[in-house]
Amino acid sequence: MSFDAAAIRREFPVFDNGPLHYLDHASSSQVPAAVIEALAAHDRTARANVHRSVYDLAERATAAYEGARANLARWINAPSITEVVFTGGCTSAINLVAHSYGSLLEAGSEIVISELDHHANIVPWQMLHDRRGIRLKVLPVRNGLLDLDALESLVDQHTRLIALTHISNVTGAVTDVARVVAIARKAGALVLLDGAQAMGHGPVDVQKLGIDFYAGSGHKMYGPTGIGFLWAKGALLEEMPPFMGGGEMIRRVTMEATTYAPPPARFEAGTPPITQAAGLNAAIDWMRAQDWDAIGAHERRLTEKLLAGLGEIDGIRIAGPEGLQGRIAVVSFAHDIIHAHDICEVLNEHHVAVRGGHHCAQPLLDALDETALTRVSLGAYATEEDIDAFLDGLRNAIRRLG
Amino acid sequence: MSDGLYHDSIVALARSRDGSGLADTADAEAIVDNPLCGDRITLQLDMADGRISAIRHKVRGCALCEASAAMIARHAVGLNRGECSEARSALERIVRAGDANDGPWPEMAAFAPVHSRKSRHDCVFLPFDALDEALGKF
Repeated sequence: MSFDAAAIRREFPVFDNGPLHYLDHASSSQVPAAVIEALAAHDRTARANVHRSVYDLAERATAAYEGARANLARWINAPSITEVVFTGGCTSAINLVAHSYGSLLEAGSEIVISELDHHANIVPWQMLHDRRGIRLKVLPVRNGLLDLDALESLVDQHTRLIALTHISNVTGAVTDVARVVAIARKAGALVLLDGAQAMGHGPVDVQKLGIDFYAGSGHKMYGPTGIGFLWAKGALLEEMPPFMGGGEMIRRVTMEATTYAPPPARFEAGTPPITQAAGLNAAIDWMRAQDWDAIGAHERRLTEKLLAGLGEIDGIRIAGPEGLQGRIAVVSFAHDIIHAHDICEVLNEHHVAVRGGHHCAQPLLDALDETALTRVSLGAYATEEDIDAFLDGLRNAIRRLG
Repeated sequence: MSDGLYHDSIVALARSRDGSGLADTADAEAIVDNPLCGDRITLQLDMADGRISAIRHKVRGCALCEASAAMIARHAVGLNRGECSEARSALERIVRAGDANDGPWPEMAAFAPVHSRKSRHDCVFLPFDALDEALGKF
């Protein structure tokens, strides 16, 4: 497979609507036409509830939903499709683990979380702490990076879980998962990774990572909103109680007691995101058809150009890695004088879409002593022209507001 | 589009830093955050006979928030809580409702272009939230 940035871009209808330099892939990726068409096609030809009825339409809906699960299991190299639970998103997946696995933890158990993480991988654990008195230990950030040197001293025989991001949604730094897993295993602890960012930049192999839980989000991997997933080792899911109760997650209900379905149904109470699953299925097919080595090289070239351009502008501070090592194409920065939202607003006049603010990572911004950051994040459809437009717009913002 | 959002009046108001700088003590202090973006304002008041006698603030936020805080510092001294609330209502008509172009404070007109940028409305009102919270402490 060869790489053609312009050809990839043409697959995304959003770019047909006028000038748009979309550099907010980390918030939500754009979707290729194949995904949009799959969503519409599903509702035209197979819209029904799943696992309930025997008529042909319902059979097609069930086949689409379970087909998406099987496709996702293959994409992340899950050993079994029963280890893939569909959720409303990555946040839902982490909350599922915090509630369900968390309910199995005995008093005095500890969980390690980090200053670097998205609120989605902090707040559910704080809520678990409030509910059950589970102790939280916080892995600090040093020079904008996870201080893995400190992890060893935080983890001991009381540690049950280390919950970290796979890739930072703010700095783009890639976590040294092998080192985290090695430290966890020595103490007999489990590892959960928030994979929201990683899933949008190519294949992920949960077995190779050696972790226990992996959470992902459909809308950050070229798929629809409203769907995400939890992958967990089968033995863990078997042991975990339901998170929510309702239809579909039961084996038998009487007015006296209920028994529960085996995973993954046990964790999918109510009508699941069926149409979204059909869209996610198409997104995975689209991703599988891409040359991720070439896209990775393309994103690195653009990131290099971006970092070089930012380096030439006075008053810019990069959060996290300043070079290309150990990062993906997510770069956040602050300016000495101009607030991130003001920069974003002026960039919008240049048709440049970037995000400013705390990026749902307030503890990280506190650690960095920053109020707000402007974040530039690239998908496979980003181009040299996008980076040029961003740098022009930034220089204009500084001229006007600096 | 943010056409005209950062026109000269807003930029000058933000850069004026009127009222900027906190004292060690105050009759009342409020710290208010905007959960959307993490912006924060700390606002201090001194009071005399139920009216504001001094306003000081520290803004960790965008130009719109800075401009709004500076406008308050220029005009709210001498007002009571009800009069501050009336001023806020006038600005709400300009920014949130978009059915007025100016208000009792001349600088309010400068915020009219924010009406079309709904995500930025709260930036303008964060200092008013802090003002009301501080006044509520008396």
